[in-house]
Amino acid sequence: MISNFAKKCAVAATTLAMSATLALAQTPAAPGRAGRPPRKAPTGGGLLAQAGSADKHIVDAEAAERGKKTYIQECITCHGPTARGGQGGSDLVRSLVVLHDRYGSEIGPFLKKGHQSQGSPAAQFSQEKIEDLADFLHLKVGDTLRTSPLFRAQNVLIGDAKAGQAWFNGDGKCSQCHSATGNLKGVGAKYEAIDLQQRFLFPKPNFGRGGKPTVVTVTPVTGTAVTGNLIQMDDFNVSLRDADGEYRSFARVPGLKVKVDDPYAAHIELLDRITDKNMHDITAYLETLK
Amino acid sequence: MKRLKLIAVSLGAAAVLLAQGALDPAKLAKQPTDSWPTYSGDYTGQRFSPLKKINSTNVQNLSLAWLYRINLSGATATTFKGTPLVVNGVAYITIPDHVWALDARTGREIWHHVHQSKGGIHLGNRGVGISGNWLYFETPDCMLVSLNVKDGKERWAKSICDLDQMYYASIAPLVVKNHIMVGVSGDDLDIPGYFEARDPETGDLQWHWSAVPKKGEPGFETWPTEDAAAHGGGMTWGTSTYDPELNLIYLGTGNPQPVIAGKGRQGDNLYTASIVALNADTGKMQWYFQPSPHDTHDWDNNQVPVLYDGVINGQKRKLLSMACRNGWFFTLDRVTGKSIVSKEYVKTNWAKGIDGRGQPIPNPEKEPQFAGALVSPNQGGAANWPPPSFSPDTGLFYINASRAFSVWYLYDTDDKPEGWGGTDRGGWSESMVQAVDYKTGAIKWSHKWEGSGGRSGLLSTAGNLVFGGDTSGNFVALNATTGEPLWHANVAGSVANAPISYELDGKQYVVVGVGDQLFGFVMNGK
Repeated sequence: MISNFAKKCAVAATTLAMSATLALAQTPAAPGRAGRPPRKAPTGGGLLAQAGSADKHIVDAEAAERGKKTYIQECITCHGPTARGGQGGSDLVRSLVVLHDRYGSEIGPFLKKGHQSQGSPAAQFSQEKIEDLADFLHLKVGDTLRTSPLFRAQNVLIGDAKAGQAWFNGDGKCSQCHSATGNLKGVGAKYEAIDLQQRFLFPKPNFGRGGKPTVVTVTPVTGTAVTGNLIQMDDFNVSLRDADGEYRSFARVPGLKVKVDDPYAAHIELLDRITDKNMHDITAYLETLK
Repeated sequence: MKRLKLIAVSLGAAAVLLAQGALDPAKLAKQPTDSWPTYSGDYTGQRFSPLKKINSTNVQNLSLAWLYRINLSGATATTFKGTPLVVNGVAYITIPDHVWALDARTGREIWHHVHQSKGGIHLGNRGVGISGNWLYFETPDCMLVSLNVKDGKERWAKSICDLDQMYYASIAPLVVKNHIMVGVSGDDLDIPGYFEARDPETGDLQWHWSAVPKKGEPGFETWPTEDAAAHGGGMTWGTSTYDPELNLIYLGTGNPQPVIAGKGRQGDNLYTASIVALNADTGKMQWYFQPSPHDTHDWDNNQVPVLYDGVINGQKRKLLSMACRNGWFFTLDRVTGKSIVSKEYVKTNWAKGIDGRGQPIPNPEKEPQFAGALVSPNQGGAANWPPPSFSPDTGLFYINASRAFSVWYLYDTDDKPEGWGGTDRGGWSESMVQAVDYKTGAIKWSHKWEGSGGRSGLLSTAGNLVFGGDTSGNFVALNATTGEPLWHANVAGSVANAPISYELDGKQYVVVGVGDQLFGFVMNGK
């Protein structure tokens, strides 16, 4: 059986292992170096922030900014503006020296040993300068991750608004339920273009939770039909809340009939026939509805 | 139904327990009924139980025997995503960094091992492998750990990947003869995937197979540069299957890297997003088949390569089928890798057709775009890691499938995109069990769930049943021949793994994971 000590370890290890926020918060602070205060990892980032070693390099933004100056002076010509390699210089963001580095621990000795192209000048970097350069390079590694603030959408407005309007009123059949002066008035001012695009394609939020209710009519084998907002349905049971606010639940026995009216059915039907051009045009059109 | 001949499941000497709690080697010549000794139940990946005490005429009497819950306060990543192994009445279960031994009759804890983690992504753990008196499992901080099955004490822990490159490890190791087959994960820093055989006694490397070729090697011509190939991905996070007669390991490989932004890796990017056959003793590749050439949608091809013997045009053949994350079902000749069936099992919109080898041809317009491209399936895929099941009784391949749309965006404007460089957003999906005829790829029956999002593995049995989770928090038994729902228990959460079955003391059990709970169902009486 498990010992008390093992149980304590289990709790400790699990806490360390769990939600990304926790994992980050639990990441040991970097040791204070040469009169600098210890660093704490940022919080957030979800599961992805767990990637890598628990003792990985924690970037200090100010140090990285200082390191950037060194990088521009000494490295950028060969290794490129994003450190992903350039004219004759290797990709530093994918360099094992950089990835194994902690606060200059690998980058320093590498440079001091005599950099391949620079030789002695690199060896003259002060320890502080090496550490700052390490911060900048680790920052550039971080720029390629999904947790980076740079990981974001670009311009999605490439469509033809007029063509979008025509499709809205024509083949798209959008005008059967929506109008630019009615329920979509001002929608272009309310949302970013990418959110407009997402909302008209996938209006049913969060895989069915929230949004307009699905209306269901249940006709029992004997008795009268009951209509209301669907709460839950599977192969065996169906439940709803009727117009009086009463919760009603039925076993789906043979002979019981269930009719579902999904208010988003027209949008779902669209997914199989809309082209990417239609999608871009509609996005551009909705954007004009300020 | 004509029962197809089962592949002889010779688990081999290595899997035979020799000391305390020894398995009877004679029982390993066919699929065992009193145990579940590998990730898939045997080497074939069929996830088919020959037991039929629980069957389509009495399943309504299935009842709860026991419930085991992890008692780890404050823990949030405790979902059972692995398959328990059951050997000699003991079930071995895992979550990342943790292994438990439970009494398979009662669910009572026998021992609990905790690995002190040094980091890594704690996404899930798929279970253990067992050989003799030793148990093997992988950890998020890149270790292969060997424990004594008797008390959970650690024998050794060996590093199998580099945490600093953001590799991590999660699969259930497969024991084949005197090899422990291990795979790795990691999708962030453009790293090469690989698969290894390790020594069961020491954990030392026996052979290493790289998913990406070096300059001069076959397949290198499918990469534009050495740099692109060396950072080309192809992780190996699905547990493999094995044919003892051919001595071949069958393995699916993950997506190429950078994941979404593919402009720096033009070409097919072999051997990523592929099915490969490797010699079990040397790691030498015998053949490959690539379901997703030049993937740009994170469609790892790590689903289970299911092995069975079937009849094609009147001829008995050694076959392999896979239901891929990209929405396509393939039946291959597993001796040669030649395609027999290439067909969608849900409707998709990313391929222009198939090439002469039976591989889908990606439509470049459906690669991620800066302004977005509407693609089906979504990132999660039409199938993912939850294992399918194949019944040799019905000849049907069962998939808990999704049909999903999302919009795929490029984010990275750099001349050399790295990491992901984009992603998909939003979505709509529907979920269903698809029963596929392996000979044609035709959908024999489809059972649509009322809802979407849930995804579990499946188990089929000789009792004409398919067990799995629906999208509404139920554990369900379907009629394997018709898809009709026959039984359910509301387990108050999504079924998180694939069910298993075993018989002890004349009673058939079905065990399934839901969140941090493990449910043991049993058929009492007749």
